[in-house]
Parts: sequence; C-alpha cells; structure tokens
Amino acid sequence: MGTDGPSLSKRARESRGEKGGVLGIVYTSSALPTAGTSQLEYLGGSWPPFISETPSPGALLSFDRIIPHLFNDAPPAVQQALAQQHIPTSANVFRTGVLPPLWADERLESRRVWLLALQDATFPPEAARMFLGGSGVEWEVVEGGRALWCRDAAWVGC
Amino acid sequence: MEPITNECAYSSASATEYNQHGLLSWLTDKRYAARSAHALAHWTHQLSASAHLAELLYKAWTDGHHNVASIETIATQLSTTSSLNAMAIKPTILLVPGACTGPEVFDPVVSVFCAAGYEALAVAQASANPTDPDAYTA
Repeated sequence: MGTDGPSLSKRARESRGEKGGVLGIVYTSSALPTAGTSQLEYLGGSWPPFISETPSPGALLSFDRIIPHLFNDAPPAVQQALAQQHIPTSANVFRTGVLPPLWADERLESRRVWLLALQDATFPPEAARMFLGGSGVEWEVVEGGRALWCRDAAWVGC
Repeated sequence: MEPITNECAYSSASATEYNQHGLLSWLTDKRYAARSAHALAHWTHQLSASAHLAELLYKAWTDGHHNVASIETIATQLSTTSSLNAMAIKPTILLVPGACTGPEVFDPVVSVFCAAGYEALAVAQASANPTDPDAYTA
C-alpha cells in the first residue's frame, strides 16, 4: 500500500481536520522496496527462480514452480486449497517503481509489526531480516510461518 | 446458528447504521426488510450479544417481519449490552493481499476479527488476475 498524496495516517489526517485514518500496520509481505524502486530492481534486476513470467505484452507473473511450498506451514488440506486460489499478477506492477509506501510513514513509528516467516519457501528468514534492516524504519518483529493467516488465524488476530 | 463467516463485513456496515439510527429503527425500517435473517443473525452475534439472544432475534425475524413486538423486546435486551458501545470505538481491520493472492485467503482471519467484534474486510488487488495486465503499475 502506498500513496503519493497526503499521509493516510490517523495522526496526519487529524492534524488536517479529517476523520479516520490508519492507526497501524501489520506487514506480512516479503519485500520492502522504497518509493520509486520497483520490485524487480529491489531483487537485483532479475527474477528469483521461483518466479515465472509469461511473454509481453500482457505479461503475467506467478510463483508456479513452488506454489505448494508457499504455504508449507499449513496443514496439507489447507495447502491444497490455497494453492488452488493462486492467481497470476500483472508483471508490469513489479517492473514499475512503487509509490511512497505506507509502512515508511513516520507517523506510524512504533506502530509497525512484521510477521517474520520462519518457514518461507521464497525468502529465508535471514533475507527477511536483511530486508528489515534496509527499510530504514523500526519494526516490531513477531516470528511465525508464511501461511499464518490460515494456519493460526486466531494467533494472527491477536 | 451457522458459524460466522466473511459476511460480517457486510453486517458491520449495518452496525454503523445502528449507531446512527438506533437498533429498533434499524430492525423495523422497511428499507432493511430485504436483508436476510441469516445476515442479521451474524450481525447480532458479532456484537457479542449472547448466542441465546441472537437465536431469538433470528427466530423472530424468520417468523415474519410483522412480529415487531417480539423484535422490540429482543432489541431492548440487546441495546443494554455493553458490547454495543465497545463496537463503536474499535478500529476497522483492512487486509490487503500481496502478489498472486486473492482476498479469500484471509477469510479465516476476517472471521476471527469479526467474532471479536471488529469490522474487518479483505480487498482484491486490481492487478491480480487482470484482463489487461499492462493497464496496471505499482
């Protein structure tokens, strides 16, 4: 999530006399590209082996080669169900620079939590910690698995 | 009563309407007559009212919309529950999926939040499974 407009944080919106806004953010993604950086640039200019892309124009990106392993900490039946829900995404999205990300908003200081995936089949925990260190902001890190939202929804909710 | 499902995002919107208009008017307003008893039961349960009250309300609603007296009695009981006030100050939980993922994967978490009285919903990314992949940028 990002915006090139005014901050969406609740504190900033209140200072502008507006109601509502983002109180905090729980991040479960694997990468943290900064404003203007594309996901492809963030990963060094080439796709890692678990990402495949269809030809352009109209290129779609997917994790075809490792789909079952994306949810390797979930029960087998859940893994299968989630794998069937896997859908391709516009490759263009990964080739263009991201908007200023919401997680970098200074008004969310001390209100960011990272669910560190200990059993991630895409990026190992060491890589995730490297991403966190390079983000330039402080995170509260909570260790878990990649498919926590389905394996232990109650825990994520807490 | 069936388990709470993702429908509670819809039901939470109804809870907001309650805050504006009051539970009784919400229940008896003809504009809402088309709403299913199922969704109404979800909404009631979501507000942490006792399951017994939720079942009574569900039954009153399914017995016929004309049964206003019955609904009024139950609504009075419901309106005294402190959970209604708690609901009004809880934040909304918005779940945004990443690449190659639809909002369905968050159904279990959405259910947990809703059962706890939070308004929660998962959204779809326009760039996911698009008809024109080149139309989208980051």
